[in-house]
Amino acid sequence: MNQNATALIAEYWAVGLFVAAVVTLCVFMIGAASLLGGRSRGRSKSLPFESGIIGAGSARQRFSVKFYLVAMLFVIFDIEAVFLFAWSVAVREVGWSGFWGAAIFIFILLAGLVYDSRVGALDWAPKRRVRVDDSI
Amino acid sequence: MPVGDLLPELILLVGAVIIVLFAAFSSHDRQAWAAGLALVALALATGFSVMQWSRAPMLSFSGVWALDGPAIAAKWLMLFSGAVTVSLSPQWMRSDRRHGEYYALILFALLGMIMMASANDSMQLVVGVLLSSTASYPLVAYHRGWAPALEAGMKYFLIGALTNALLVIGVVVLFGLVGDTDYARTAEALVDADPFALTIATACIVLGLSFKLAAFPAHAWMPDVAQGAPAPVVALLSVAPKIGAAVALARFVLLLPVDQAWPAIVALIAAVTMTLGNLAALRQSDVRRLLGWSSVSQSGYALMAVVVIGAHPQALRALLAFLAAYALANLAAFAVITHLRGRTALDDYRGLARAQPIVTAVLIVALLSLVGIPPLVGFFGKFLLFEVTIAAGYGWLAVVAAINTLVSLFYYLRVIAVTMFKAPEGEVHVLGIWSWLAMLASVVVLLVASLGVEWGLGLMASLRFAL
Repeated sequence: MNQNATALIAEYWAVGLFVAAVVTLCVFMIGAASLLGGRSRGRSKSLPFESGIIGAGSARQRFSVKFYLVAMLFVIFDIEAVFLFAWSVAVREVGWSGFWGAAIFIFILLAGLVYDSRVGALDWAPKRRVRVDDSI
Repeated sequence: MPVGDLLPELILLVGAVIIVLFAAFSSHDRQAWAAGLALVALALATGFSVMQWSRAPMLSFSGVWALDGPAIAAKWLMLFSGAVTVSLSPQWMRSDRRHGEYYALILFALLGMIMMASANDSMQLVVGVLLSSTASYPLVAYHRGWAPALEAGMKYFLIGALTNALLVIGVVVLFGLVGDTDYARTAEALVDADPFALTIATACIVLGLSFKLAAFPAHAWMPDVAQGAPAPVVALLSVAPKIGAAVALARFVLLLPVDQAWPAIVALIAAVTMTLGNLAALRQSDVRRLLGWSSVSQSGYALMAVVVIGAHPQALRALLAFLAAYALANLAAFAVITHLRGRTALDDYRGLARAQPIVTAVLIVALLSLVGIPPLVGFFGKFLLFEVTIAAGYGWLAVVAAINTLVSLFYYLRVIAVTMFKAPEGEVHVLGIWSWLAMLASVVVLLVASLGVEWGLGLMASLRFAL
């Protein structure tokens, strides 16, 4: 056990040093700035910083449901990529059966993409510009 | 890769994808053709799973996929309930502009449920449960403009999200204990596992499966779904997930070491589930809700067989016989409700016997089979359950179940009495020829199963899990 721990430390001490250095540097920069820098207070100082523009309106806005839809679509196709990465590292070992498995997987998700575009999930234009189509 | 072992499932998957594409490109009046595609896929899948019967029991895909009697019998039942649901649907869904996708969702849900029954690996089980759950939520809320359907869908989703998360936690803890997800190796490694962590894992997995079973801690969605979801969907969701989950649960509890007190816990869940379901059904004045609660109590009966699954060699046969009897009766009952355009209040059923004698006869046969009146198949299911439960030393559970059966007689007979002895009120609207045929098919299969019960039980006599 002790032997193991020693070996682990011997192998990974540099990582630990790196973490410690990062933390120290951050603490030093923030601490030194707050000690050495001047302070001023005022009404405009306590406003939220918006890159120099004065903020307007409420923060509670209604977002279009499209954003959630796109987020979900992103997750689906992102996970597709995750599976394909797993396949790509083992592409020689799994051979043709793996190829056909991956091909079927991609085609199923492609069918999903076709479906999405047919039902208008990918249309970003405002309502009036969406093609009026009674066939779907 | 033994692709042939997965042919029924692959056909369901490919069929669902074809239906999605078909539905996306076809006009409103052709959407119903997707039902035909779904029926073809279900028929092909059934055919291929019949061919698997002679090769069972075996394990495929390095032990991950079980091809054994229980899995295949459960597959037939689920595919049949899918076929009944699909043929009930076209006329019900006619006014829905995009109802083609609905059939794809049914096939995906069935695929998930079949995976649950065949899973011989805890990750496989999780994938099956999640697939069937996510495909079922939109099915429940398919009438998206109708508030009760959305409410039922939301309740179903919230309970499902919680219990599915618990299931995943349980599987992860189990994996941490064992270092493997395969059931055979899990059983070996669990003998000297930490009992506390194993208790947590078991509790989480049983909770997760109780959601699909509509059993005690996670049963609350069943009555709401029965009332709010489209009636054909309820026919599917009150039957097929239960079959998959019951087989999955039986497969899982057999892995646990004997010093784990799981039979006592499952017995407690069974007793509470059947009592709660029956007591809640007593006062219902809404037939769909009543059948929802009765479906909860029927899960309790099914769990009786799971309690003794390791103690009695015929427990598995009793479980499947009961599930088959329940599935056929419940499908017939919901087919009747669908055929009557989903009429739901008990008062709407007044004097139905005079207006629609055949429909009423089907309803009565279905309800009597649910109680377990002797010539019908429901009796044999319950009889076998009581037999194995008493033989394995759970007499108290059999007594509770017998009392519950007596209690349940009241509310089933109440529906029958309203149809028979009250004066009819108003006109009775029915759905159409398809739902009529599906209803007749389900009741004919129910009667055939009642007559051929000897043969069916003989076929199931040698059922066992592949190890």
